[in-house]
Amino acid sequence: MSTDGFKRRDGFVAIVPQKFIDNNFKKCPMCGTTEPHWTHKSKMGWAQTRELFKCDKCACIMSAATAEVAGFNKTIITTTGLLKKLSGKKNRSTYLRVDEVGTAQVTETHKGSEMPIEELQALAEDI
Amino acid sequence: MGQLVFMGRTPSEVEKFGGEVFIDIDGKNVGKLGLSEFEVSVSEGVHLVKMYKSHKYETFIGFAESELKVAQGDKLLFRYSAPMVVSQPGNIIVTEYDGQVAEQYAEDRELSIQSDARQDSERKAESNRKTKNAEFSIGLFIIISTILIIMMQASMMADL
Repeated sequence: MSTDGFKRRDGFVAIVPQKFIDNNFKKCPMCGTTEPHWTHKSKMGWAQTRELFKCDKCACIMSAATAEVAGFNKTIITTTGLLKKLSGKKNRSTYLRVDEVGTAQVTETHKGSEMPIEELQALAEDI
Repeated sequence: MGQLVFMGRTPSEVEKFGGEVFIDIDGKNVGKLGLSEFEVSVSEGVHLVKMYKSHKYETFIGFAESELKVAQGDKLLFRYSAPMVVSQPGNIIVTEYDGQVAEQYAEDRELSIQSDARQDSERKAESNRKTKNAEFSIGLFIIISTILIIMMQASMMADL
């Protein structure tokens, strides 16, 4: 386990966020490695808990709200889904924020950007 | 003799990409690229021009090479572009030198970087605003729900 609290969740604990990142990002959108070996940790906020994912190769960190990762926000039937819709985001997309660009990016252009998953996947394909 | 002119970096480029751009000709470093044009005279014949950029921890990235034949009286303009990702190569575009066109290239690059940076910051601000709205709404929902639950319990207690 790393000192910053990130670790692989290959057991039963936190398997949902680990599967989410492994299945959706087979390639890191910041460095382009095909073996990102994503590690995970949760961070509690005042309004929501966020799931943080770190690439083993470039140390970039992406995060998403737990409800986003769990898929609760894909519909307006849930409270968080409704609030997501009201805040102007698309319910169908999962939004991730780039918290750290890592060592592979030359500029910090993407730092702090929250993007739909499709945009990040396209970014990964472009590298 | 021929002249090789290297287009200078723009202030926005330096701010965004940082580092220093080095120029090697035939395996020998001839200088660093500053904010103004850099000129070198070379003999006639084939020359290998290599450009790269310094990165963190005394490393170099964005290597780009161009091998070209220089004839007597040639004046060529070199435009180097650094990569966005450290594992990608840089790029060199070589054209015939024209003073006015070279200035225009520099202006265009500066405007292009500024415009992209502005678009990025606007996009970030917009997404941050949406996230803050969502967080504020969730917080408000939690507070209102808590108050309602407390009021309901208080009214149930009063009924008893």
